[in-house]
Amino acid sequence: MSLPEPRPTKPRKAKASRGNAPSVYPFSAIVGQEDMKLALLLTVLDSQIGGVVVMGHRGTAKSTAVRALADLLPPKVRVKGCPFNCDPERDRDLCRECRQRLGKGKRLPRETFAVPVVDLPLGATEDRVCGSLDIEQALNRGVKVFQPGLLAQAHQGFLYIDEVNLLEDFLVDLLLDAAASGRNQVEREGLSVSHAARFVLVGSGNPEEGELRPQLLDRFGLFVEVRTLDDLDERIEIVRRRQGFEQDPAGFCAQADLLQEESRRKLKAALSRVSRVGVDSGLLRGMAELCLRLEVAGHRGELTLYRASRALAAWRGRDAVVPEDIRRVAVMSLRHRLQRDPLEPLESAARIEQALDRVFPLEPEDARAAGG
Amino acid sequence: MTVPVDPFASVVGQPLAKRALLLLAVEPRLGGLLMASPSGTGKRRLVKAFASLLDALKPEDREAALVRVPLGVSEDRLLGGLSPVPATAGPRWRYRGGLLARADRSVLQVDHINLLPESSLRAIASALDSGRVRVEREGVSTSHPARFVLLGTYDPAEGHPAAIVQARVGLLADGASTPDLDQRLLVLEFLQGFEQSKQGWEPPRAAHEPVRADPAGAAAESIRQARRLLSRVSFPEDDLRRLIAAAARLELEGHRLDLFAMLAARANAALSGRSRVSEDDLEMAAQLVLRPRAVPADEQPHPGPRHEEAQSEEGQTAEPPASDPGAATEERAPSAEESPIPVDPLPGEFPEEMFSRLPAARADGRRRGPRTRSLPGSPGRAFRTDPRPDRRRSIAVAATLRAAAPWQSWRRRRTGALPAGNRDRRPAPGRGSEGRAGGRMVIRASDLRFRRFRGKAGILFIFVVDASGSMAVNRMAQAKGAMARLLQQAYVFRDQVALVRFGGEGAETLLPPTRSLQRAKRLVEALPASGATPLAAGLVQALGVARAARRRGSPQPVLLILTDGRANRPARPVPSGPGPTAAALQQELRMLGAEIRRDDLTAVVVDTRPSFLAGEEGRTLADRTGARYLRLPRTDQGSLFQAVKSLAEDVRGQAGG
Repeated sequence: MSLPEPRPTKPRKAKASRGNAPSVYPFSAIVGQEDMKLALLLTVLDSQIGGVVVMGHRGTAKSTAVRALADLLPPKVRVKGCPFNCDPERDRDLCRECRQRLGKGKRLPRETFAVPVVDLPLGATEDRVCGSLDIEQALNRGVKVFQPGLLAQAHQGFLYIDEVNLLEDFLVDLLLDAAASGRNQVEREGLSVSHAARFVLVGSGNPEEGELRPQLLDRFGLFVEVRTLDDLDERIEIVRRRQGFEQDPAGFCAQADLLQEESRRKLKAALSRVSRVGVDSGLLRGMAELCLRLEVAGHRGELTLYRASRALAAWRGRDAVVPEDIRRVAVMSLRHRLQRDPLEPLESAARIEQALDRVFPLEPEDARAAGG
Repeated sequence: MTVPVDPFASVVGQPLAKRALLLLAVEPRLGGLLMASPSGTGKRRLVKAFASLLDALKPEDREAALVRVPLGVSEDRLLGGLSPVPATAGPRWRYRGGLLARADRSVLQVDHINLLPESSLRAIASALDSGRVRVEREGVSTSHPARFVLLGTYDPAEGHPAAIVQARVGLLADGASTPDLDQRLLVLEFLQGFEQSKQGWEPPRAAHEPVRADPAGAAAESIRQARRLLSRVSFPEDDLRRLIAAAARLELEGHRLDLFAMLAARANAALSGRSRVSEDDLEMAAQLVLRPRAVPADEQPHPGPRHEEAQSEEGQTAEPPASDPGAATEERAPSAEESPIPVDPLPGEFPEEMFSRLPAARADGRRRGPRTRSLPGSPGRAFRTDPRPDRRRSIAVAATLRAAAPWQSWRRRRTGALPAGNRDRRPAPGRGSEGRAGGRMVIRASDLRFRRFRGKAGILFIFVVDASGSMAVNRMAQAKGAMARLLQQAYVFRDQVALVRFGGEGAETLLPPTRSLQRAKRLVEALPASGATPLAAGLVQALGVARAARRRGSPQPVLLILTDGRANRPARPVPSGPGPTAAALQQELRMLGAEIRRDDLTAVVVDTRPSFLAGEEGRTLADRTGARYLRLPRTDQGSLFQAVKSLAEDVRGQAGG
């Protein structure tokens, strides 16, 4: 295999972590749902985009896609044995213990680990989400030890919330706080702990069962809608692939390996490219104008548009954003930020398309590019 | 002369909030600042910049310039409490000050302050009053200095922080409106510059200011200058009089506001390098201290937005006694508003079947659309635990164990040493003499944690009242009478009411959701009737009120639409044609009806036209909104009471089920 190995020091481990997870359905084998796949990729390319919320029908590969994408990513590095998944490269984000170790002049031992995907179940309680006192230690030794919660586990990875629209408001508040600050601060039961919690928030749900609070919605960088596919051939293909995977996961993954490698390579190239991508001032103005036209409150609209179109340009192998990139990401970046006006006949997506046509009119060659 | 360097250059817009932060840095006696602005306007970034400004200002011995309070903070961490310290010879107990004490002489910062539980807000408020935090819990009796300034941020769309806090901070900065093109572009240019340099935040030459290498340091210097100047700033008698008079016009209780306004004006003068208060300073004081409190009705603070139940005060040893004069006066304010002043029945008639028929409406399968709150927010669902019991007194076992756990070895030792009194806790003789009380958990009352339930919120009656000219002939007086009866009823059930009026040019929320009967009554009585009938605008307004209420997780909204049904002015200007066209009107009402159905709002249309005049408009409106349709004929008072009660119980039951 001609793997582009990132670190000559740890090739074995990196390979192992990929190899020993044959039960993850390959990302490249997911049929359709292009918006969702693209949105997930973009948040990985620029984590500051701030997560994706996927709303729509059940059984449309939402959680499969998240897990598959995590599997596609190069493994992360953490301080060995650190319960907070501390990234040894980021001094400012180290937990208290790691910092103390570093302060004593010790080197922090490292280990690689597969990108974590942490599920946040609906009924989760505050103590499990944020972490709490370790009862066992307290009872047996009478000491107070903090037992990290799901937010710590999700550090450097994904926090996946199915049915995010049904989540308790109280948990939503905690999540917002952590997601916005990148830290989890616990001040409870005599504990005072603060640790880094940088994760990509991925939420999914069915809008017919309840709406998302606008404040939470605004926190998510991208919003995509998924539908059950209409195309019969695609539906058959989904069933066929799923069956193939369930009967022989290893064989199926081996088959998909070529595609997966291609995706990995592309992802890696894009990751190293994204910080170089520039946006020319005319397009910047266009982004601002688009948000103004749509009366998006706050600045998060244009900021997300900027980051997402840059990430897309990097994914497409370019060093500069072109109008087509903006057109492609505009709906997913903005549709959840439009003011809800009960008298507006057009749906958000249609309103965005309309504004796009004004601000970034489709040029003939763009149209060809978009079509091809 | 102004501050030479803007330490907040990385945040576009928000001039008021920026100025307020600087004033707070100059004059801590202003108590604090509440910043209200929608999400994505740079609140967090402002706070960050402020923190680095404070870092540059603070004396070397201070540890933290800014202490952050997370939303999930527990009382023992906020106020202080005992805490085991691991040591080689077993755990030792040591008192640990809470966040309030840690914030002494610095800034206490709370994001989403409107979502903080009311008990925590009370603790913060009392510390703001006295400059100390008193701890009376778990056998500890102590007090610490806690002279902090409060910096709270919140998104006003999710409700306002409780009045007890609003009253104790001097500065209220209301947030930015929708940004314009230049601001958006500037934000993007910032980001691009930042991304490309990845060095740090270098503002791309703000037009009027030279870029400094160390904005925080330079700004800190100007703050120091202002602080030195502050004591010498003179306040001309006339100006002071004008300012206090302006404050007095707001008719708020107490004199704290006068003081805040005065301090703000002086601080602004000092910050601008003036040794004498000028017109500009008065204006700034008015903008940051006075004007936000003279807000229109729909901006009025709602007490305790999300944490509905006013918790019982008994057993809250951690709170300072109510002897604090400041606290006492403030506490009076809400209770006076909510006192059970009976509403004089206005002349009124109300259809008996108006409410008695409602249960049937809900039962015959008319529920549809998204069940917005019924799943996540269904009342009776425990959502967190708390040391103080609510009415259900339901013990949360895990949380109780967790609270008791660290104490066990210590308590066992003490229990073991006690010859009597605890004998019943010791099972078999011969065991436990080693300080183990039979290996059982020793649980004290102070360990108990109770489940808190959300959602016992009652009902929010949103009166949507047609105040158009035609109502004058169509029995406005009766409508008023009916509303007055309902208001009285609402008090009994601790329900909330809101009042939306439409007529003339458009619609407005006269009264945001409140329990204040008196204000509602006053407003209803004074309701004029004139002008056109912009029914659609009224419904839009009411929908907004209902949605905002649901978002706050507070009561079940019920729309009571009182109208004669003849809509004749569209909510939006009709793009072409000479005047409002019937088609546009109908189109609007259709869309709004669909929205109301989709939101699954309980609605009642009360047609106020006498039956011999009534057309089809009222009924059509009811059909479109999925509402009950009722005429306003005569009724007797007794059955009205029953009808209202049955409606209330039905909606309550529906919310609970």
